[in-house]
Amino acid sequence: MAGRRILLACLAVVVAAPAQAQPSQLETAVKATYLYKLAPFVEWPADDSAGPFTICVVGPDPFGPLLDKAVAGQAYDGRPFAVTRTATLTAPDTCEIAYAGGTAQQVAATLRAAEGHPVLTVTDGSQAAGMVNFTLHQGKVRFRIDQAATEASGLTVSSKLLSLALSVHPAKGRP
Amino acid sequence: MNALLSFLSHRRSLIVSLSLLLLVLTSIALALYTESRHQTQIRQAATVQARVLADSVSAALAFDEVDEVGRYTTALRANPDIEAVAVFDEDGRLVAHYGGENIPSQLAQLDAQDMRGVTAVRAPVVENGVKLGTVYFRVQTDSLLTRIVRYSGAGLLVLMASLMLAVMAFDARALARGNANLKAEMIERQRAEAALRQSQKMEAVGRLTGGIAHDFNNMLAVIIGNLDLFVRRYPDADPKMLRFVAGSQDAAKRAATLTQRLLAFSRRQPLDPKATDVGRSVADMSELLGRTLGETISIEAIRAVGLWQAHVDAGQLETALVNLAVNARDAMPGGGKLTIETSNAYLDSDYAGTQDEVAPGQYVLIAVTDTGTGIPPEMLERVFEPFFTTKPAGLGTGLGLSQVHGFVKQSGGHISLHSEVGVGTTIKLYLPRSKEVSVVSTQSEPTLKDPDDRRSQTVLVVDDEAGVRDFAAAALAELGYDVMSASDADQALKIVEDNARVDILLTDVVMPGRSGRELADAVQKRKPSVRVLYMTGYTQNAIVHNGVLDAGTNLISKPFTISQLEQELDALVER
Repeated sequence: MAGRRILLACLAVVVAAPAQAQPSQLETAVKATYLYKLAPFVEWPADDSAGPFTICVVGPDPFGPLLDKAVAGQAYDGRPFAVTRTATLTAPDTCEIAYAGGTAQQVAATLRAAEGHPVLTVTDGSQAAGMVNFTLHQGKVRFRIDQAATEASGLTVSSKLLSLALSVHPAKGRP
Repeated sequence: MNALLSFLSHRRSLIVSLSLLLLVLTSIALALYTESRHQTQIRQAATVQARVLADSVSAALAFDEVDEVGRYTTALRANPDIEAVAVFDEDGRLVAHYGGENIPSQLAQLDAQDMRGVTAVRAPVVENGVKLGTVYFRVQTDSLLTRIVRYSGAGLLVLMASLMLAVMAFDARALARGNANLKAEMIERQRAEAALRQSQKMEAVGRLTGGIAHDFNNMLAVIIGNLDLFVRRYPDADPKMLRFVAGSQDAAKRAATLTQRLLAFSRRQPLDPKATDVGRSVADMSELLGRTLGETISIEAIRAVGLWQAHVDAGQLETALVNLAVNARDAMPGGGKLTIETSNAYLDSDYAGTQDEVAPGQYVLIAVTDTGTGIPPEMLERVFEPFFTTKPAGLGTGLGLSQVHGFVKQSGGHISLHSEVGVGTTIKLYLPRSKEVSVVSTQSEPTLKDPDDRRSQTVLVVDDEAGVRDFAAAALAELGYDVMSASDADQALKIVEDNARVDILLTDVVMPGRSGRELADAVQKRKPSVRVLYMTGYTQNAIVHNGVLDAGTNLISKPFTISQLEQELDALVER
């Protein structure tokens, strides 16, 4: 972990100057880890199918084997993590988490496809933000949360996660 | 219930020991239990805190909010018991910690680092089954000193309780012992008082008897002496008259024997104790005793090997044995067996202390046992009293056992009596062991002196009793001596001073004014050649100490016959 912290510090220096530059491999690895670590802080509606906990990477895959390595050996409530990669989100119900990558149009399409399904959508600094949207803040990978969207999809985000978010788009009726 | 109480009182020390052991064991067990409970509580409390922390830091840990994790751990500083807190990520790497200088950077290295004096707990950081890391807690357990201090109060109490229990138990034991001692002493004292009363009574009776016997002796001396003189002076008198005189002489001699017994009881008879082989005395007397006892009674003498010699007057011992035999015979009218055992005996101070006038030491024991009717307990104390008899009037004098008692006591011995009605009686005589080497007594043949020799000798007779004095003077004249007489010491001394011709002083011992001994000393101072013969009715006086003759003192017991006087005077001149 100490090693990672040092790397993150380096990353901060590296990433801060050339904005919008291609993200480093280290940053990608951190995001891959965070992607599955979001899961324990989110409640999905009761699901009869007790199959694997599936993370769907939609569109171009920035993680590659990094994500597979991160989830290896981990399980959500006894359900082992599984990673599927698709070009478009055709069967949103098979995914618990959907990472929407690619162009803005691709991301928007994925988000639209996931709408109304209990799928936690994650985006990476995109204009069309998912429920969780990764962003760089003071050289560190942080995230913003759209609580209104999660509630609309029947998901409950833990207050622990909310407290860590850079910003929260509150649910309707809340301050 | 009584059995339980007696068991308790007899096993008091055991019970106290068990109680103490129980108390100490209970205390230790209680302390151990409390200690283990305390440890468990510390561990539980630490576990709870670790879980709370794990729950709090899960999100911050998951998304690398190191500062956030640090804030949580730092918040725990408020608890002074916490020695160290560390948070590791899901890969076992240290994320944040405080305290514990030696927290390793890897969770895997922590196992070997558990220390004594601290309680270490771990709690996994888990959210919905996803393992995000580990929280490590190290809580200070109390140091050994702290724990000892905590239990020292209780320990002190246990110690005090044990001490009190022990003291109480030993107090109770001392009390019981003291009580027992007191009881024993009371019984002892009662016994000693009874013995003292008995001895005082015997002493008083003895004094009275002795006084009467002494006066009787003087009178008998006159009667016997005068009858003797009559027979010697008038050998040709009417035979009828001589027969009357002989009858009077017999009666007077029997009366003299009686007074001797009385004197023996009152311990005022003169004793001549020598080293005596008691066993031989008994053996020598067996024949005589057999005749005394008659044919219906068998007699057995048992003599112990290595028997010591006793320091007693052999003549009085024989009299005592005869008296005992007679007593035994009268107790066995239908026949039986008399056993006389002789052995060595040692009376220890314990036994001597319970008896009156008994010195601890070595004794020669003569035990005379009969198979007779026995003596009822209520009579046991009285049998040694003079004139006490169970025999019909005229059959016994009541002086037999008195003589035995007086003889033994006067010899410095001890007498004890055991009797059971219908079974028999044992009388034990403890005679003091002699310190002398045995002396074989040689009876010197009485040498008859020619009366002519005596003509040259002058005897001075001194006695305050005119009857005795006159008889003695007459007897001495009869024997051929020149005689002068005086009624007291002063008169006698005057005669000695006036007249150089005094060869023998025959003096009474107890007289008004100066005693016979003082007179003798005064006379011998003036005329050392004068020989002295004492006459006495009893011997509790200046020349006799405790009934034993002084060495070199010549004495003739009143009443005496002319021939006895003749023998004594001849012996005096011989010496």
